[in-house]
Amino acid sequence: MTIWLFALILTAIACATLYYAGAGRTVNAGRSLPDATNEHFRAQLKAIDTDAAMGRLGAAEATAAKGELAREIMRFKEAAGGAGSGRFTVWVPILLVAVLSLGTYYFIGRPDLPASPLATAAAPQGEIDLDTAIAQIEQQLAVTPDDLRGWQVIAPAYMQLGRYADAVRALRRVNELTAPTADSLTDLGEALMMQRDGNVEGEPMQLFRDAAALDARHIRSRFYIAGEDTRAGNFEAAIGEWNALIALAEGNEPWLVTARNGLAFAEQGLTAGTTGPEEITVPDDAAIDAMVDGLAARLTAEGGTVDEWTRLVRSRMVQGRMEDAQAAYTAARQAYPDASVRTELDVLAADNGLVAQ
Amino acid sequence: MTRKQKRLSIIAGLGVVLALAVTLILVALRDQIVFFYSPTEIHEKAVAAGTPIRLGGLVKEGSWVKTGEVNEFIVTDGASELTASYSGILPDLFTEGQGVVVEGTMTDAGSFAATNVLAKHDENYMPKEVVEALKANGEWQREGAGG
Amino acid sequence: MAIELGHFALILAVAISAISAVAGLWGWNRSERVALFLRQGAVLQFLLVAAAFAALIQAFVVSDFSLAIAYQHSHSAQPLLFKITSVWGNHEGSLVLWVLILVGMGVAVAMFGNNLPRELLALVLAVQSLLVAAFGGFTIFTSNPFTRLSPVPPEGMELNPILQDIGLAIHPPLLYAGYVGFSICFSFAIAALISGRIDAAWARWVRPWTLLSWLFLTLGIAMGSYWAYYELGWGGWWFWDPVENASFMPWLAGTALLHSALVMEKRNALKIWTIFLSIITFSLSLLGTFLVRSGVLTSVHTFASDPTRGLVILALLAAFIGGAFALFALRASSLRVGGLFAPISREGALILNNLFLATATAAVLVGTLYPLLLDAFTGRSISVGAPFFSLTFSIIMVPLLVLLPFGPFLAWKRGDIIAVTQRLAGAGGAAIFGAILIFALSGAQISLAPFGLLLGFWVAFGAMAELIDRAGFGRMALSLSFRRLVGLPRAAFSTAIAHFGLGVTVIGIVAASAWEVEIVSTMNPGDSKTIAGYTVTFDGLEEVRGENFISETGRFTASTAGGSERQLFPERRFYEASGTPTTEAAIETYGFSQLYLQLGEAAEDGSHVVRAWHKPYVTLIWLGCLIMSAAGVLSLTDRRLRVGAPRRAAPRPAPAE
Repeated sequence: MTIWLFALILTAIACATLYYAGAGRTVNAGRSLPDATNEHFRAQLKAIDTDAAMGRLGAAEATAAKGELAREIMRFKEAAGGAGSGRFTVWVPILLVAVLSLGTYYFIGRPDLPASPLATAAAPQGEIDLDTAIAQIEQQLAVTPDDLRGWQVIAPAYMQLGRYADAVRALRRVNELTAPTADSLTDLGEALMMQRDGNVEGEPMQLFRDAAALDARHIRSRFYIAGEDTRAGNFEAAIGEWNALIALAEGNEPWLVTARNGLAFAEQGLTAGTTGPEEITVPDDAAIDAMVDGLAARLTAEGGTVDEWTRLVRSRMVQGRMEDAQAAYTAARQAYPDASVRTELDVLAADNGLVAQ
Repeated sequence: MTRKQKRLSIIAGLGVVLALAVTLILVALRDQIVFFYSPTEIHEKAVAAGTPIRLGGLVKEGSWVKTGEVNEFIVTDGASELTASYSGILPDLFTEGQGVVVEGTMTDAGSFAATNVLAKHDENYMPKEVVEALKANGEWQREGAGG
Repeated sequence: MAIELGHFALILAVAISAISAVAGLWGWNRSERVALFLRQGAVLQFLLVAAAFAALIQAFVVSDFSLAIAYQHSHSAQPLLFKITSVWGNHEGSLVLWVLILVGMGVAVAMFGNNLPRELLALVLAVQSLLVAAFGGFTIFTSNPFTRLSPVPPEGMELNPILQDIGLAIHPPLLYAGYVGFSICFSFAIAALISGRIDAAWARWVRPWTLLSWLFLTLGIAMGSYWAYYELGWGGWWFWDPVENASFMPWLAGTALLHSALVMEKRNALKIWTIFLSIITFSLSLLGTFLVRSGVLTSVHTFASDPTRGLVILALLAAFIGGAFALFALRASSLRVGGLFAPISREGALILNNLFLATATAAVLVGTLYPLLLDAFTGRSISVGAPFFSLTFSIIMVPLLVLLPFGPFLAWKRGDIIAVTQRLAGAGGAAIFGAILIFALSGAQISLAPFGLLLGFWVAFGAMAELIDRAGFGRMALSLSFRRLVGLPRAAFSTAIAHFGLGVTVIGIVAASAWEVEIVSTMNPGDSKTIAGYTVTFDGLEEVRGENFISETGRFTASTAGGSERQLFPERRFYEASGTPTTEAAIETYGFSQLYLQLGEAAEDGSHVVRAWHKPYVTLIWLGCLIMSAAGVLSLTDRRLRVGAPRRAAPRPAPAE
């Protein structure tokens, strides 16, 4: 309410000064106006003399210039007429000023919001629980729906919470706000797939194909395409895809095992003429363990990007090794003390009950 | 000279200078403008080697190769692609998968020799021409992508 | 609380301006009280917008991220200076700065305009208020800087790192002051058209205000050019980019206005043309501020473009520019024309100057807007780049520069071109000698450079020759000449100095373009490269932490044949909050020349691409602009021109009639 009080006082002061100026008893007679004009012409006359003395104006021309000046002055004397002394009902515009300003502020102002400089801001960072964090981002996005980074941050959080419809919405927005990349298209395809309980027919498949078309070396999208072809029994296409994927590998990728299995299955299917397998075999646990341990060792020894730390924490949780996950999270927080760069990591940790130490 | 003659001579002089200036601007416009092409348009229109043009599109993922100070990358609009090479230091915001506008000429070998890679101040900023080229090739806001 | 109060203050200011505009246009000749009402309104508008701006600054300084633009464009880790500059480092905030300067100009008229006829004062303030209402309203309803966020985000998104530079503190305020200053000339022109008579006050006011705006604009453009030169890291200082053209067009038109106002002030001639130029200049300023914002033109400097606002901006521009020209077409014929003069005279020379400047402005305008029109009508995307502008602009400028030294020598009304040529012979001879000397020193290569330099020398020496001639050096005793020199009016000095500055800039442009040397090479620590006589050695790399970035700093030593060694530190910075990399060039100045180093990304083998330029005499470009500005300041201090200066004590009778 105080803001309204101040606004009213401000308006009252402004209106009062306007009233005083516009309706004051004594019209400020000011200086006699012809003075200023005369002074101007005097200066011009003086300039003519100076120029003539300097040789910048011939004698005959100086005389002509003085004649022109005289005619100019005559013209002014005829034209000069004081402002009318008609009525000016000053309270009308003043009333309009008050109504206009207070009315506009009523509609677009936010008198309910207090100031909140950073020093007094509540909720120290890092202890926000996931739901609050998401709610905050959602509210910001409602105000700034074109905030690309906001949508990019919130999409994976939705995925982890299993809110696939929201994730689809967010990822669509990401693809609208920026040029789609193979990754962003594949993310959207994955979200759609999860929303449809693993069914990739139709739009998700089209998205994967678009992603692969955009970047022929994009493993993730091509993996889905190969898997779907295998599942659907398009073994010839599937064999081509698996072979292409294996050709893209450098030799030690963890997914290579899966790709080889898929290829074998498709070849088998082609000869046997049977239709699709139910699922594609995943790489065995030992391979995964080796890969994750390798990542952990490297990050501990050499450090790495926030994304790599996030991947490590997530892998540890998938493995079910929560203590290692916690340790990795703590190490990551030490490596990146600035909370703003590890939003995704914090969201992941909070979601899975890891503690900020 | 009379008043009228004076005035006429001034106006005639101004007229001549103005006419020359207009001719100059028109001739320069005809010869000096630089057309903007997407890779598809370059393939369709068979742009002559040596003509300065601007090429716009996305930097294809995984296509950026750096050898010493020479950068090679593929510019794609989804439908076709074109290899571009640039010698020098690329703008800070040049990354794969992002929009780019390069100035330069086509070489006889059918690739693009860039003399300038246009920098953008904002990582979310996409040159208007690139957006339009991508739209034309259906790479932008695919159907069904509402909400 | 402060934020909301600032918001209310801005709304109140715009409400006052809207009512003032209506009241003024309705009642300018009805009652003297209207002028007094408007004058008070102008003061209030200024105080209120200043309060709103202060509220924004305060919110940014304390990192109050409940303010949407603070959240979007600031970060708590930014240094204090950049927190403050962040206020106008974005679309919304920069609009408030623009409006603040606009109301500042309005209050200046209200304060200094005591001796203006009341009718004129009312009309000028009404037009000024109309501008505030339109652009203030645009700010509040489409780009409100006081939009709040709730709940409050914990941290801001950081100002674009490229803008985190002292340049942002200086460049936009100067540029805006330049743009907006022309609004005074515009308002006076519109007032003259509405009232149907050109008051003597118009002639007195238009030149100092044009001069002031031109001064700010010159400094703003020069500063912006130097900023782009060191910050963008491509070593270029002018790109003929739409944004640059947008600031350059009002400068060209404003320069023309400055010269035509001179004729009007001294000789009462060229009145209608001056009114026309005033409208053009401010219209181009509006285009400069807003066309790029509307999103219809793309530019490398764009940092805020939002197509949804574009339509409103275009409508506002069309209303103001179209309205002003319609008024001009309707009313200009009713205005009286002034003095007579022969084609060869000071007036004639100034008309020629105006003609060339107007043509140059038109060429830049055509080149800037042609892509837009072609796109609209044929759908073809083209760009009109540097080649077009360099060609047309230089061809138009060459005759102007050739004729320039003649102007100040010519007498008013009727000049003697042969006598002037004789007096300029010395300067011409010196310029030719200088150019031939450089031609010989540079290896006698056939190129355009010596001719360009000849032009630069000609302009610079010609400007000085005017002073020497006026003081009578060589024609009379030295001591007498000195006394005459000191006694010359300041206007003579400022003309000569400004033209000299232009010559210096031309010399810088020609030299830096013609003899620039560039190398791009891959270097490992320990490697050395030679460029234009400097040996550049790559000593190594180190990691440096700034307040909100990490920097990979290269250590280079540049040594000359003379044995001097200087250290250069080009950087690659990574701004952590926004994850943006930037390149910071290292520049070392030798005399008027500069060595410019840019560090590229590390390759896998640890080597770096290094790009180095040697730019001979490049600093002359900006030095010339500074000299021109200094001349502007000098001219402003001329008592005769000072607006509202106290009148001489002894009242003299009006001149003979």
